[in-house]
Amino acid sequence: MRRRDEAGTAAKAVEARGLVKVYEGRRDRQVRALDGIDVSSNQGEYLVLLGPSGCGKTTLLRTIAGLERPTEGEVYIGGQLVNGLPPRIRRVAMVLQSYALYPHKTVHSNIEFPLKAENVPRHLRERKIRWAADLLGIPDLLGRRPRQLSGGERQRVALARALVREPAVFLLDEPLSGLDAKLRATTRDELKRFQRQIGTATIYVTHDQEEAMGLGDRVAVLDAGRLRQVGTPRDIYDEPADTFVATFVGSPPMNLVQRANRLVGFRPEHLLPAENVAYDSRVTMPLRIERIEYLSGDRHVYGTVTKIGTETRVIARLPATVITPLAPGETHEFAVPGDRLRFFDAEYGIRTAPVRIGG
Amino acid sequence: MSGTRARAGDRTRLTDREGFLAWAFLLPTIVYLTALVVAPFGLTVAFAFSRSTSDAPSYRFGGLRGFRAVFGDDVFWRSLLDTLTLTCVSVVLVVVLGTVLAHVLRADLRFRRTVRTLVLLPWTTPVALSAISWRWLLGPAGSPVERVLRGASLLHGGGSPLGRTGPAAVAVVAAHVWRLTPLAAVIVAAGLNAVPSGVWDAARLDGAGFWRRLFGVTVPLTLPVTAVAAVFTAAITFVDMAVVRVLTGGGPHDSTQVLPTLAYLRGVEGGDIGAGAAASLFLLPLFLAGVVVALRAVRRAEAIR
Amino acid sequence: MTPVNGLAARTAAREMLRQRRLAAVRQVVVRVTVYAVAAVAALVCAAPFLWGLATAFERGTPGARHRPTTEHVRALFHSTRFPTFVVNTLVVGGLVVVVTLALALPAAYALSRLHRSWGGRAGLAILLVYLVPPPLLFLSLSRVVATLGLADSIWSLVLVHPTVTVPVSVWLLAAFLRGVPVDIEEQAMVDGHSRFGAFVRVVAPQVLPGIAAVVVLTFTLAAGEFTYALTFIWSDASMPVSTGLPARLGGGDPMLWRSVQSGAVFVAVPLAIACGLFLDRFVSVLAQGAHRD
Repeated sequence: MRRRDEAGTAAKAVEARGLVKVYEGRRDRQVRALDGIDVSSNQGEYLVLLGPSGCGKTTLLRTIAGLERPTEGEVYIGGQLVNGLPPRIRRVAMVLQSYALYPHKTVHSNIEFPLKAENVPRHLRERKIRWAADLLGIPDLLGRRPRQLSGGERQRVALARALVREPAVFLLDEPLSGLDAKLRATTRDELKRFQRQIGTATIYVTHDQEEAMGLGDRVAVLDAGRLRQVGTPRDIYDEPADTFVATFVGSPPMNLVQRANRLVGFRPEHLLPAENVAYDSRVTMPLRIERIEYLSGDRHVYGTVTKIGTETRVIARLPATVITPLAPGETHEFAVPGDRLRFFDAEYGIRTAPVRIGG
Repeated sequence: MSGTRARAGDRTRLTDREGFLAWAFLLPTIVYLTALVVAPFGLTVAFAFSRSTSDAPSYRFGGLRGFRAVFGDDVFWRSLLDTLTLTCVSVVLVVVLGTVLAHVLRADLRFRRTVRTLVLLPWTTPVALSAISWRWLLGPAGSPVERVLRGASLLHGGGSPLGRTGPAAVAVVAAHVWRLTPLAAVIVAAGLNAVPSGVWDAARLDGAGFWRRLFGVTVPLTLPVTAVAAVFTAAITFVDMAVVRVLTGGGPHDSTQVLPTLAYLRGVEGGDIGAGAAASLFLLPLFLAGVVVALRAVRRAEAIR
Repeated sequence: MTPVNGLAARTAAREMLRQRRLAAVRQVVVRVTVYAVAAVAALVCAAPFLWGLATAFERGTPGARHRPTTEHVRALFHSTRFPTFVVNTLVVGGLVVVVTLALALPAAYALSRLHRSWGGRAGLAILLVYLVPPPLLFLSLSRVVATLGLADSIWSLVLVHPTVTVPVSVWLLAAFLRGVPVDIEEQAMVDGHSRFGAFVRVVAPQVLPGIAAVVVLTFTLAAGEFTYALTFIWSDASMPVSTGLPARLGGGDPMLWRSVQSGAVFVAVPLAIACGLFLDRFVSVLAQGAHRD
């Protein structure tokens, strides 16, 4: 790959500053798809934009690509301001959710199209097509047309078409959503290896937290056009910045119990029968068990906790190593290690400093 | 047991049987179209080999008499050539202008509704009436076009532009192009809408400039639907008699007659049904060509998907 | 950062700035072009009617400046039978719409839903009928009309016009019907309706907008038809607008010119507005047709 560190190592691969995108709806109704986004991705980094559908993550990606113009704010690619530039000059490659292969062209011509657009001479074109096809394992498909391909094959062709441009940054919009569940798992792994191999900065949009946590070097969580948190998957999971991130990431989501003007949060896997939690600094609470699910060895215990705050329904995930006998209808003493508790403002949902909970 | 069967029979009413319904629903249309299109078509062929006239309309076999009358008619040969030229020129212009207009109609414009309503005028107005308006615009002394032509000294002497061979022919082509471009635009716009929008984005992302997007992506993808627009244009232009009848009346000196107006002139006004039918039969080859092109376009459209 | 790198960065930045200016200029050019083409197209399309409207209220020779007058428009109503023509057109158009829907709706349903092995061929055959040119048929149809005793009567047009409108309507309605999910219909059948009942109660209401579009199109086609109207009808009392107005010009009374052409404008505008309301629907159905068939 070409080195693109002319502007110094400090230059981010992509940087968005104060991006706002307003769509004019009918009857002067405005939709703020992006509501002041600041985010940047480093060279060679895998950044995942995660959020529920309609949160603006695709709009953000399209704005970076140059398919949408921002209402306010700036986009920098490789340290250069690219506002107002068409996608062609931004040196970005994007794989759209539908893959958008040209239906009238063969796989070969599909991959060749961006090279022709750049007036690459024929022999170089052929070499690049071959290189991309080999890398993605599709040399046998070059003569086919898109409608003769399976979903997974189409995705590879779309990737190859993006790859031959040697872009400064890859933009992937839910590239796995068109695949069935089985293929998704294997393709996810391949995508990651592929990016490691290429070493190009990649921004990946998804609503699937498993994909996000599995693929991303860093994850940016978006909701309603705003950035909620950016961090490593571990940060996002362990140190959520607010209740949205806390409940959107993790399955089952984080339990939140209201206590005065605070919400006390703890992950289901940290809520265990009290005898399984080290004695020092644990917080105990009685759990009235309503239902137990056995899921691949784990026990998911549904019940209601009292004492530490308002009576709230919670979920506890007990690994197979915890063998405490439990039955619906009983009340059992459960506990959470004190350092696993997270605290949020009850009104705004923002993370706050820990509060002492006696017991 | 017989009771059960009777009840079961009761339940599968005639209205539940798909085979019956399909026939019952299609039959009226098939009967109607057979009676008033297929049968009259046969009758036209029969008339072409007859010596029937409007004074003696009952059928009398006349062999090739009708065709001989037509072939001996100078106006026929001229109108045949005129019809072909008119159609070809119109189709080319309509397809090109229609494609441009289709893109404009899809563009995000202020006043979009107004523009579209105005653009629809030529297509929705009864042809004969737009021909009247065109004649008013072109014809009489003091009309804008007449004044412009005179100002550019392209028109000398008295009389209206429509009284001259060249300008009259141009006027007929212009009226047809004007009338059918909106229709072609609507058809092509529909074809553009049918292309998944991701493809346009992909082409921009792939770095293709305007011309490459146009000829590498847009044109190939809308080729089938453009062919449909061309067939419609050809079919409508080839068989139209309203424009010529109202705008030029076939004149001056029968120089703008087309096959349909000639068939009317000979068969209805001239009273020679045999000759009129024979002349109109020459419309058939284009109809068949149109059918072939249409079928091919359909098949191509299928092949792409 | 080495000086060489700094220079490279500055060059890159300058290049970016140049490209950005280029892109901005290009965008303005595109915008202006689109608006210009739209304006020219709208103007050219409306030109004959604009001129017609401008001169309809003029006194004296075209273009000359005088006080506006309504005498030409009044003459349209007094010296020609414009009102009669309009009524004839409305009656013929309305009846043709009824006949067309009665024939085309069931046929379209059969083609789109009741899958028979011959369905595709039947659909194609009906579409091909649309391509059979009226000038090929008017001679023999005039014999048919005369034999039925309908010559010089508006009923001849009610009988014959659907040959043009039915094929198009079948095709359009079939496309609309394919847009209605089969599930809805099957649900109705599970809920105790027969096929026919499901069609009447559940499917037909769903395609109501489509039916409205077909009504407008059918009316427009019927109102615009010229060949048959010219051949079958020769007395003023039965003529529709499309042949009635042009026939007044043949008489050669130049005084009537303005009146007649103003009549053309009065007919053109409402039709365009009515069709404009349904344009999006036509486009979407044509797109579906292009997509599915």
